[in-house]
Amino acid sequence: MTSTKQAAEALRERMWSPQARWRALQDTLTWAESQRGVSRRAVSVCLARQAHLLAGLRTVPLRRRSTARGRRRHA
Amino acid sequence: MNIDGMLATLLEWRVQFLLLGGVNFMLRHQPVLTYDLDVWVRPTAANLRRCEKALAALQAEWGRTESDWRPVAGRRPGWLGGQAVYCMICAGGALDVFLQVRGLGAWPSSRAVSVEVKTAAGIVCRGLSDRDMLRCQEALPDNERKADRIRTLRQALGEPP
Repeated sequence: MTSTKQAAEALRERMWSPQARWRALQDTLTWAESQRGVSRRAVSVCLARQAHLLAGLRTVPLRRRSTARGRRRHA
Repeated sequence: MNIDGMLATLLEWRVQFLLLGGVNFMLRHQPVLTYDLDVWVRPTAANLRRCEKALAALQAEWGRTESDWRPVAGRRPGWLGGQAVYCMICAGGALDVFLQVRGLGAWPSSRAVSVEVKTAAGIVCRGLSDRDMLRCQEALPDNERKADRIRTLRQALGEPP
């Protein structure tokens, strides 16, 4: 069914005028923003997103700060 | 018209449906990028005929091919039912009408465990349960699964991510 759905979606994309598609997308985004509790500014959403991003960043080593002594050495 | 309008029209025509996909997930959990409304309609003859009328009221357009694409209002009753999913354009945006859903069984079974969802405008309808939404995701090929949604759903169900 997945390939059938993909084909059906592709057909719709071809038949949808870019202007109408853009308007629908804007309307949907506006609608999504208006839903209670799912605003991108909701505290729970921010904290969840932060935790997710931090989990990914923990695998990246922090760069050592350059010091004044180090800068003079390389001057 | 927007998603509220599409849902209201389906309800007005007494279409039996379950909300699924990104909008269902958004109303239950967290914002996700989605621009279409996905509904799973009960595939009985009577319900499909009601759905055809609702789609006509929504000024839906659909076709099997590009040359066949036109407003559904001009189609002979009974046009809805020959395939598992219909991807159409309505006045309110993109609408996917499913007659069967990969990973799930019969519609009444999912309806029995569905949950009530309510939009900010007060539109109330039934949406797939978290368990069924997870089944839908897990039934997809790996490259189509949405990892964020799977993680959220497993967390909501008390399962390891």
